[in-house]
Amino acid sequence: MRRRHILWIVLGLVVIAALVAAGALIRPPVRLPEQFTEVDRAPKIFPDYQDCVIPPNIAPLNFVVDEAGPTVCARIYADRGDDIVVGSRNGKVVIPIGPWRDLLAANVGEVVRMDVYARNDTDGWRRFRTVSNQIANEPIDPYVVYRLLDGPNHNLNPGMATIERHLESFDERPLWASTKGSCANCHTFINNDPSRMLMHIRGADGTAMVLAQDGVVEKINTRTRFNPPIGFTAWHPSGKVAAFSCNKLRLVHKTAGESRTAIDYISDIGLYHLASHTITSTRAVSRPDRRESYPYWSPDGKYLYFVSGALPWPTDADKELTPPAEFLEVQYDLMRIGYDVETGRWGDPEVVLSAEQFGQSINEPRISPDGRFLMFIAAPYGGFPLYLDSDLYILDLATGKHWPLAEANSDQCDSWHTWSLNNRWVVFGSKRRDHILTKLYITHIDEDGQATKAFVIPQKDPALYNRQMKTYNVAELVTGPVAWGPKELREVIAPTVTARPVDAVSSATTDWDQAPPPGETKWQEDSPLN
Amino acid sequence: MMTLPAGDVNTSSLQTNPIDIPRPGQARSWPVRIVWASVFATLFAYVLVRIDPRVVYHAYFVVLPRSETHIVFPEFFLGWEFFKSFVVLPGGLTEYVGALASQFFFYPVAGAAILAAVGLGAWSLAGGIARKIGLRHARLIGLAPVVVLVAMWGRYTFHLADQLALLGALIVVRLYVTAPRPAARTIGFVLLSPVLYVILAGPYLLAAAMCGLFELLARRKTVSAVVCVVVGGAVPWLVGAELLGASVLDAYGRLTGALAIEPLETSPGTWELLLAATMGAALVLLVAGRWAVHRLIGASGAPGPDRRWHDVLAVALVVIAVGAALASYDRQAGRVLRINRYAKIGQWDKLLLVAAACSPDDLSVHSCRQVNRALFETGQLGNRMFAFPQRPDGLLPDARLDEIGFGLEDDLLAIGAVNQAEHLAAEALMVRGPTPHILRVLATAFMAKGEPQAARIFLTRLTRDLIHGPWARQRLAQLAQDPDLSDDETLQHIRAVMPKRDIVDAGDLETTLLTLLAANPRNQMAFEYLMASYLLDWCLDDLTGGLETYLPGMTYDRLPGHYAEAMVIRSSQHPLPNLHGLAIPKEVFQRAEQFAALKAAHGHDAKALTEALATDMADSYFRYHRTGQSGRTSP
Repeated sequence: MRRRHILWIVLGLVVIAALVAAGALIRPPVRLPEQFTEVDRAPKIFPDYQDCVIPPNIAPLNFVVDEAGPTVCARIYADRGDDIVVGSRNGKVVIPIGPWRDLLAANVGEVVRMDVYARNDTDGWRRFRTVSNQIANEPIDPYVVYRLLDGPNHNLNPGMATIERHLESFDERPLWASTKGSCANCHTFINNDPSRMLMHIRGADGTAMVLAQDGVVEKINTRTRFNPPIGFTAWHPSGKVAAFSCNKLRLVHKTAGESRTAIDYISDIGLYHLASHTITSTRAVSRPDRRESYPYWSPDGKYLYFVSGALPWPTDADKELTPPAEFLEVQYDLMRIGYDVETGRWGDPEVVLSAEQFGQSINEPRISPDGRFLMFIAAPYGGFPLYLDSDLYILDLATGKHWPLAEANSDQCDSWHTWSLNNRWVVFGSKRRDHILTKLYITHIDEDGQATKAFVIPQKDPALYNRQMKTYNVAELVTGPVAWGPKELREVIAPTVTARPVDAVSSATTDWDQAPPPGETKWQEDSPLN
Repeated sequence: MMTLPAGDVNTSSLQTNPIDIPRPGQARSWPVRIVWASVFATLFAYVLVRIDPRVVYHAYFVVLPRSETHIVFPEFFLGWEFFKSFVVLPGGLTEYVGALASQFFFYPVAGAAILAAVGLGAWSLAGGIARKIGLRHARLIGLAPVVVLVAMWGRYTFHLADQLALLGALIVVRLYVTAPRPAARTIGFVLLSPVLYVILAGPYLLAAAMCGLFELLARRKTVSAVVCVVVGGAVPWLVGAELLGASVLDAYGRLTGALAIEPLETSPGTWELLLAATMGAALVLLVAGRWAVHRLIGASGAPGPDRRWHDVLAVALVVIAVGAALASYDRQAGRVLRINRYAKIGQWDKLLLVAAACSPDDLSVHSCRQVNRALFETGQLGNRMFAFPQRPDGLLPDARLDEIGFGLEDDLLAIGAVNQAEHLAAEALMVRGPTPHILRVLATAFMAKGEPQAARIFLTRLTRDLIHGPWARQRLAQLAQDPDLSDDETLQHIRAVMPKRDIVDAGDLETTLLTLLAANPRNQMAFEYLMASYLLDWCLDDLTGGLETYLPGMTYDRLPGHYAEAMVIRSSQHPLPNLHGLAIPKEVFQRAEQFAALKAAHGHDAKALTEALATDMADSYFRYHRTGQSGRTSP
């Protein structure tokens, strides 16, 4: 008798589960309301996907309707292809990925429209003014690799990961996740190629550079007797050399407004030669009286662009508790210097755009793959714009003219941009949404260097950004999935793995006294970084 | 309650034992119910009155004196994402339930009922197991885990999830000893072990060990005992470490309370070595136990010494154990946590009543700051601060890293140091997690700064908190109506006193307070804290300068007593400063004379003078200035 009872209970549970599953699978199709009131304004939706230019290969732009009444539906349509009708009782419009892809593919260069309906008890169904987005002709690189951090970033951030996101879908893959107290810094690819990557690790897992190329992942100790571990890095287009800056950055706090700012106490630039695992530099990019940072190569590999600011305090200033007052006044110039990767010969440094002339500090120069535009960050002062009211600017390298990305910028920090390989898309970080947590935005750049309204990278759950306390930054667009997964990286990064040492100037320490290659000098012994 | 098979119950023991108490399922008489209700009521009353679950709820990273132990109270948020974060952990489900149940500590009756129910459950299960094994005085033996629980509650460092996992382990053992067929119960245990481990984590090991001991001692099944112990040792490794990816320490120690200890600096392989040693010791014990059972009890099962002595001994042990558990109550921790709770809910008078009973050793720096805040809020900081134990760092949290997470960001908000409060709370958010307190501080800081978008992030998360959710929802609704929240008095006060000038924060207390006073010379809290810091640091010239500069902006009818005492002390070498119409009160001169008399009476005997000052002028600045002591002296 007792066993029979149990059998009935189990059977009942199975039936209930089957019914629930069937209900979920065999939902009746959503139908648009036949009777509704027209509302002569655009609907309030989040994220703001209205009047944007979107890539033809972007994942569905799911959104939340922020209107009275949680019952919503939407018709997504264009001139060609089938309409998509979706609805929900929680205000979310989640677009199925297959039909969305078909719709965009059939309407490249055209407009995709969305009619949004919302229902509440008092007004019934309301239809808002049609929302339109332009589908661009050019696709965006299908992957972006970014850093994900817990909460607003101050000094401590135990929850940090490097994530690969497929922009054509919502698939994500963690490439690396922090153990207690470890930190991943900038990851860098060569010409948006995911098969060659540099990444820096600090903290509990040790301090090292991870070099992944030619099917091999290596851990490299870039500290030498002349320089601390290297920071911001840029591959030479040939892949033979990576330019880097060594920075002594420190976060300090302020009494009003944004509570954080960062000081770049000292910085110099050098080159890491991949074949010989050596580090070299020249005084022109590592002057004791200047701070040089953010190196970036021109696409032809002939010039190294960087920024340079005066160093108005003693080099041991970082040991003092109170930051030097002058740091609020120093602005960085945009510079470049010629370099021949075959001979190792440096040219003379030249100012491309002086801060004095421009009126603001210049940071993070990055050149479009076709070499036409240089995009940089303009900030009121300093060499670390993440906590400042900073904006994206474009410099036409042919004409020398520069202008802000007025349509894409916000009144908050906009920074750390990455170009797509076809020069038409830029992904960057912005705090426009809530002023403290950076999210990644996409903007289209036309042939004249004009940007369109930026939109946040879509998520499968459109309410994700509303409820999570995460910072997304350091975005890098790549043309495919990264060739290495978390397992390979974890194995190499492990503290038990000894990092390969590098040598300053020459590949053999015994050759230290040997003369450096023509045009190069030793990493100066009087460098403030020593 | 399980129904026991007739053949397994030691009925003779039940019938002849006058102390043993029948189970409710066995005899549902009123006396039995009364005994059960009495045990529950006793536990309930003890927790409600003595422990007070509310102080545990508010004990957000409070540092207890002497032990320097931090109390970590679990946060709980409604929603699938929060639940998901537990599923992948060994014992995650139990932790989730523990975190949920812990939120009810906010309500004293509910909190006491939960802990009393845990105690009652442990008693019932342990007693049932003891009975099943065939031990006499099973119900008294069953009190053993209750005694342990009571002792743990009294230390205030317990985690409810650990205790629920312990309860779960007892349930497993209770079911195991009830199963009639030896082979079936062992096989069942082995098959269910991965699931049991995922639910119980570390306490699963206890269950496995107890099942093994039951097989060995009560059923004399050596093979089954070995199977239980070996499987019990292997499953955490295989499921916890290999499958779920937990560290070895986590796989074996989770929910045992062991992880509350700071992680040891161990070389790779240490924990594996410890595990191997433990398993080896367990096996040796099993073999030795088996031999002991045979040798001492033998096949005859002959009775031991006189039964009456057994009964007396059992009762005596219970009385001693219960007494020890009650005596182990940590009064110091209780006081610190009560002070902390009163500070959190703004009951300043009650806080000072508790603090008045504390000696300097009782108060951590955390409590000292709360006492000073209470003194300020009740208008007594300048008059009575030296009636309480003081320390130079006992005013405000320093914006250095090692000050993160002590839950005193409220003080920074109240004084106007909004960015410091934001900074410390943001760091604490990273290190300690999104506790309701941190979320409230961050939301308030950003609301005060006129950053409603940023405030919404933290308020939105807080809406999923059971206790603070309504407040957060109300705030979000208000923000939607009025993003400036211009009618909110608390925010208006903070805005009135917060610095407007955007300069780099040096981080030291004096600069912070001077910056606040530069922003608003009428910032009474900044002024009194600045004066207090000068008093604590014996900086009487700076105190004088501060009085001359800022007194006009303050609202005193008479000069606060400690400032007057300091002026009298300084007047021996300097003229009295301009006190803007405020005079030195007569009683201060009288105290100065009293101090001079004590000095004269004790001459150069510093110890005697110190004792005399502690007796006759315990709450005066004269005493602190001379000895560095204040408040009640330690016994």
